[in-house]
Amino acid sequence: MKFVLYVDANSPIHRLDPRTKLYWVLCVFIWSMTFNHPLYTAAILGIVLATLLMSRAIKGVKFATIPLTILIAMCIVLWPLFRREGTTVLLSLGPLNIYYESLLYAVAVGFRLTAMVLAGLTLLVTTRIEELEAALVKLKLPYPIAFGVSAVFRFIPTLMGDAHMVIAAQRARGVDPLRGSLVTKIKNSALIVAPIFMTSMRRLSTLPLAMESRGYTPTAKRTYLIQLKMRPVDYIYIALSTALTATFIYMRLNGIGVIYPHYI
Amino acid sequence: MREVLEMWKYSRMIASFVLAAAVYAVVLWVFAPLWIIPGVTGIRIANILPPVFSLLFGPAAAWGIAVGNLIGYDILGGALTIGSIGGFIGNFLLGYMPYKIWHRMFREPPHCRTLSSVLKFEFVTLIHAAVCAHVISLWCEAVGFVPYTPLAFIIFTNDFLAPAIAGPILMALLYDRVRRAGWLWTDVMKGYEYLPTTVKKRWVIGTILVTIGSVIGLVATIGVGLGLGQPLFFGPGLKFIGTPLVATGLVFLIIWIIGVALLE
Repeated sequence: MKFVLYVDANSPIHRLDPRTKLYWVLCVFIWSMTFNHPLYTAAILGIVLATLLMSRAIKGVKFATIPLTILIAMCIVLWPLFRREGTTVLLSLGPLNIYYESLLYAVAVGFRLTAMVLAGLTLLVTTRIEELEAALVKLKLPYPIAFGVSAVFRFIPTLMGDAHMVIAAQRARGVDPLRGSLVTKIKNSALIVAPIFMTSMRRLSTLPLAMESRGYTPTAKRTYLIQLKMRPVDYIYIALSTALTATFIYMRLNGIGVIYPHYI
Repeated sequence: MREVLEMWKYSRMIASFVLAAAVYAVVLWVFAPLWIIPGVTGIRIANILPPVFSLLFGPAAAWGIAVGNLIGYDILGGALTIGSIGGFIGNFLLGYMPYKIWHRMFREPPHCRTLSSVLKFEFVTLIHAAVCAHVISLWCEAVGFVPYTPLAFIIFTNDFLAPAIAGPILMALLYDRVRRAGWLWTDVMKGYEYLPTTVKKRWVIGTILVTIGSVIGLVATIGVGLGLGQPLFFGPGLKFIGTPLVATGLVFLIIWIIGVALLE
């Protein structure tokens, strides 16, 4: 079993320069952190979902549906316990009051986190790792670090496949490492981690050899097969994202889109 | 600290970095966190890995744990917030502290096959958990994201319990294999000692200061938090303390920095 995040398609999002997409992801993070009213964070989530639909790569993020649903549910259950301020009491459990405002805040945080995860995934399902590496280098990240980070991204899908195979193998032996109490899970985690680690070590043992045989020198000036070039459409996306960022920050500073003005 | 930058010159260390980051990210993903504060922190079984990777891969693990956490927990897991800046530094220190102390202080290999080796492993685990909890929580309090006391308590428990229970088992399973394969960080980075031939006085003082700055610092800052009205868990009256708490935390952080400098 092998997981690959990148979905090959000829969409407008795929054609964007990776630097533009990185900038857009950064903007989505800022937008999400700007508001804490659910209507506004839902709107940002809507923008992200629309972009994802436009990319025709939605099948690449299906694996995240259940974890994200759990994340939103946990937000709705737990955040009202931490932000307990407001005027309208919804529920009283002894000394514990759950406020309408804290519930709204919780929903907002759920949408916010989902938007941020999906924005990151949109970048990954529409960008080849090689393009991402080239973009990081163009953004002046030292080459060895850019190479290392891109290698991590390249390696994670393979490792996810290995992890699922190890879990299936352990289940076939009658041990389910993902079930049981917390202490049982911690003890059983070695059953997954040790084989994943050894497999990964075997897989990666050829990486240094491959790097050196291709003349890897960290400080050398390099040329790249992939030549990134910003097109007019990239500048339009960047301008649009910047304008939205400025507008959203202005709105926040004027008290729009907030449940709790003194919290992020 | 220079080995942290120097490691990028070695292709084998980059492979170790990729291995540490990818395995950590995948295990974080496979054992999805049981959220305590959704989007901020949760119970993380993957935390058994940092001390093990640190003792095996040295500086490559420090970078690997930081990047693995950023990808597997923050970006893919839905925890990318303003707290992630502190999270990156805190997780870097999770991977930095164990090997730094071990290669200066202990002459016995970290194979965890003897009681003394296990006790030393538990000691470095305690330090790495304390410094990570202190740094992340101090950052979150300083930026007004999540109050110090409950967050520090949760992160410390999280970073200490899982590796304290399962870390020695994993270490006993992996140490000899990694050593035989020549993947220990000092096998790659020549000029560094995996175990000290002599323990210098300043290293002992450095370790004492690191212990004061991290463990005592964590306890003292939590004490200040409790004394000024922050509950240990998310009880009624949870609030930010601000300057007095951050100042206390910073004093201990400076002591810790002096300790790390002496370990050089």
